[in-house]
Amino acid sequence: MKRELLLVASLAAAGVPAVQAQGFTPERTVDFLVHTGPGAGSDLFARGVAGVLEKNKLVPQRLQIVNKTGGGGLVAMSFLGEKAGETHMVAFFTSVWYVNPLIRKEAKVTMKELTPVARLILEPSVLTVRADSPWKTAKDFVEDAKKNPAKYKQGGGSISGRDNNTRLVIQKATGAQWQFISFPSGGERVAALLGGHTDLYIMEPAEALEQIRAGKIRVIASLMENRLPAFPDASTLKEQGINVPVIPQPRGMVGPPNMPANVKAYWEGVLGKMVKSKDWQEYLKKDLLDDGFLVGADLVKFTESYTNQMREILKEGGVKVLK
Amino acid sequence: MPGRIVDLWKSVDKSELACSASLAALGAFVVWESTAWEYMTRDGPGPGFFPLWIGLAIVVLSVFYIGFHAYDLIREEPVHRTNWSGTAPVLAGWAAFMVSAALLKPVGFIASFTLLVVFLVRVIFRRSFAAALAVGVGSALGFWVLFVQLLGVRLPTGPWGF
Amino acid sequence: MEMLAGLMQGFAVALEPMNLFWCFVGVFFGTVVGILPGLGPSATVALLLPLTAQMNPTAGLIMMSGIYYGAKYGGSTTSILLNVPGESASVVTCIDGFEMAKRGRAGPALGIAAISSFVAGTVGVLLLMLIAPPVAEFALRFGPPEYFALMVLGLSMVVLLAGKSLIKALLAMFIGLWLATIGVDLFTDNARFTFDRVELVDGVHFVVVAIGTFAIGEVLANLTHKDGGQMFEVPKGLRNLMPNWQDIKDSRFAFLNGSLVGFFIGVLPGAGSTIASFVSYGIEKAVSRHPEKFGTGAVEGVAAPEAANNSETGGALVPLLTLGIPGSATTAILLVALIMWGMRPGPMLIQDHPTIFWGLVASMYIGNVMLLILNLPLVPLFAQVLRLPAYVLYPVILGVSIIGVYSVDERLFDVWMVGGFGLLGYLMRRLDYPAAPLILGLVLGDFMERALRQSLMMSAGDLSIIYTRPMAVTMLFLAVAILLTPMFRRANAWRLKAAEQEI
Repeated sequence: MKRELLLVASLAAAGVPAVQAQGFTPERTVDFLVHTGPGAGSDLFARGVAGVLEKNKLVPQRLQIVNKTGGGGLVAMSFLGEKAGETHMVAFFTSVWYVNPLIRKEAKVTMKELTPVARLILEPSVLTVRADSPWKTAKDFVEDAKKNPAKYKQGGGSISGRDNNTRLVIQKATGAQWQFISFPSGGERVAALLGGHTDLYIMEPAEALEQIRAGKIRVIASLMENRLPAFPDASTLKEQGINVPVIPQPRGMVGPPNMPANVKAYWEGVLGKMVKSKDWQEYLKKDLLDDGFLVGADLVKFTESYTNQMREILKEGGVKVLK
Repeated sequence: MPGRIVDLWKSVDKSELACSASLAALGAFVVWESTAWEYMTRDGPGPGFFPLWIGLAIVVLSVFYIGFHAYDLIREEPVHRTNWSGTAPVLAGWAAFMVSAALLKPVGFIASFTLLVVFLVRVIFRRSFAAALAVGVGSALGFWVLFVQLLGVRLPTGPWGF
Repeated sequence: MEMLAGLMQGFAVALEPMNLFWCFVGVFFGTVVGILPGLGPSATVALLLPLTAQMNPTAGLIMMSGIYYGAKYGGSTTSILLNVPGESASVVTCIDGFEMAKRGRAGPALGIAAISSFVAGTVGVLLLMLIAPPVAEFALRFGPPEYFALMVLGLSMVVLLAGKSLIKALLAMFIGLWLATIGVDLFTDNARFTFDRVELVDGVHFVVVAIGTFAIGEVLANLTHKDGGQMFEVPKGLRNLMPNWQDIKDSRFAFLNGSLVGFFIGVLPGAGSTIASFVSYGIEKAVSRHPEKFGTGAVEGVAAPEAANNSETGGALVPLLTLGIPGSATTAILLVALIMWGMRPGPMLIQDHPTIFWGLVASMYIGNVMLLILNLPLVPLFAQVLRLPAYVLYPVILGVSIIGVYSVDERLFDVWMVGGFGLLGYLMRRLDYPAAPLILGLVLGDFMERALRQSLMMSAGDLSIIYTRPMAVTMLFLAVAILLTPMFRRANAWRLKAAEQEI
């Protein structure tokens, strides 16, 4: 069975329609499960995917977004975990789906027990400061923070999130010291930065565009391997001489445990076609996202290595890792 | 002196005493649990900070309360007397609610809610069985039509599909 | 002048027949979902999100905002009639609203709720139009230390919510504060008091506690009256089903107080209408000439929180429209909608898309008038609900509660919890513990803990950050003043008594 899946995956990746051969097509509404409320990252992403799929008529049935919020993704994960073998429900994962089982006793399922279908994108991120602050690059900030330990503050979300992990790796590499302050919602984080209560904020570029255009926020570094097309002037950390690993933020589709092979193959085929479509490319461009399409054996490998990478970073940061 | 303490023990409101004692126990539990988490971190109060103080406050206040209660008794001031008359039907009604909550999943909303209402109207309010059945079926169906059919709320369904 | 031109342009947009139609659809739907507990405006707006993608942005925004502020009108109905708080902001309305209903004044209570909603809703839009940009700057200056001070001020209201015993009120509040700590700690990812249950990872949902202690507790407490006949008098005649002139006169200050408090707290991202409703109720009672009437059916006790709840809408739109920052669940979805229509909400939105902003403002004036016209005739109708005998009304309350709680997250666990809190509510009634402080602690506790810890992280552990910032100090001072009033009163009473005995 494994070999068959691999074959399907590689076919799908090559863009060959393998769908009909497997003989599964949805017969009723398909639930797109997300772990955030309407308007937050995962919900927006699922709506984006559903929009492109519907526009290109890739799925013959209605796609319905189902929000199961709570516990930073735990509620959605355990909900999906209880739907073993279900054929008309898929969910959208982000890095918290990998991190939660590592640090939460309440987490009953891991990504390995669920059925990862495809990684779709890698979300870039940028380092930003208020426009009236003295720092023009991340290097400026780090040098300043070295001289004034624990003086500056970075706003962000949960301490197991990417923003804090990035802080930890930079602190470790440079010896600089600054505080991390959690705020529960993106709106409060941006408000804290604009109001001068925090000095630094790591965000997804789409979140910042308007504030940057209005001259209120400045991007001081790209946190990816390359500069972002939208901010050609913001150099990468490596260019600025700060050598730290890039922490990817994946988003993709995951099925319930024991998802039938033909259902998995169906989605691999559909998504393979979707990522080739013009609408998808436009969507990525509009929201400043990077294509990160990955299925089959590569995805299995990614799941393994990403889990390990997150575990290491969390341990470094002093978070108690359970698994 | 011992006689006075016996008198005080006799006159103290036992429900108030039990309530204060259970609150103090809850407070102690909160304090105990909170010691498992960091009280102060490098950056400020840790996750154990608030629970510790909240737990302490609950303990102190409940002891205070019963103290004032006793003090008022000694001064022969009027105190709150807990009246438990008519609690039996209340507990019966509550038990019925919990049973119906347990039935929600296996038999669905309509059946479990109808059973709850029939019990309340027939046994607690002592209306006729016909009235009980009418209210039970009527309200359950009414809710079903309003919330499920018109507003698209999803409620648990039984094996028969409603 | 520029504003006047903008407003004229806005009315021209809002009065287009199609926009008027969508405005009406929005406020109508809003009223319906507001009346039904558990179905909040944020869930409804989210549900309609895919449908509005095809609409013209102005019409879509007008409709979705209509749902938002329309729901606030309906929210008080079940609080007053059934003691079931339909949404978090209506808990305070239960206190005096349901007492009024028990005394046969359900009609006036519902009527005053509609009128104060209208007044405050209009004031909220007016303030949104006049002072949005400066107020947005003010909101940004409000950092964690100020939030902490605001929460302390909110918690000091416990003094005003207390019944005979202040200690009991404090105990109830601390239990609420404890309930607020349940769940995963934002700062350290420690799970606190979750007993390894996934359902508790996000904490206890406030609707579960409110419906349990208020509605289920009320039903249980009344199962002792075995006859099951009609519960309260419902006076005949339309005159008795509407607020009279005296009610409106008594509520004048409450309208103003609620409108201002609601707007300014609404502007703060994350704070929201629940806090606004508690604070305005507290202020109302603190300045009242007859504070003893509160909790026994004072009409101002309904008017103030309902006003705060409604002008909060205008306030919450300020950071969304001027900064692109959503301050609440519903405005977050409005933000999604704006992005979906190809707009980028941010500091430039009003300049870039004046028709949208002014069209929305004008439509909110119109929508509030529509809501008043829609809601007032419903008042006598709804008041008739209380004519039902107890053996019909109580099952209805239970059903509404079960569905309301279940529909929040579709979890049976919540139905169990609401039963548990119902029993707690009953015990609290019998033991004379007030329920409102419990809710107060639960709603504000999480916020207060977060704000204090954020503040101390900002200052690297230096406590002076809290008492060196002017706004924070002012609020803390007010809080202390409120906390000390009962002690002064008691000392005063004791002194008078001592003086009497001497004579």
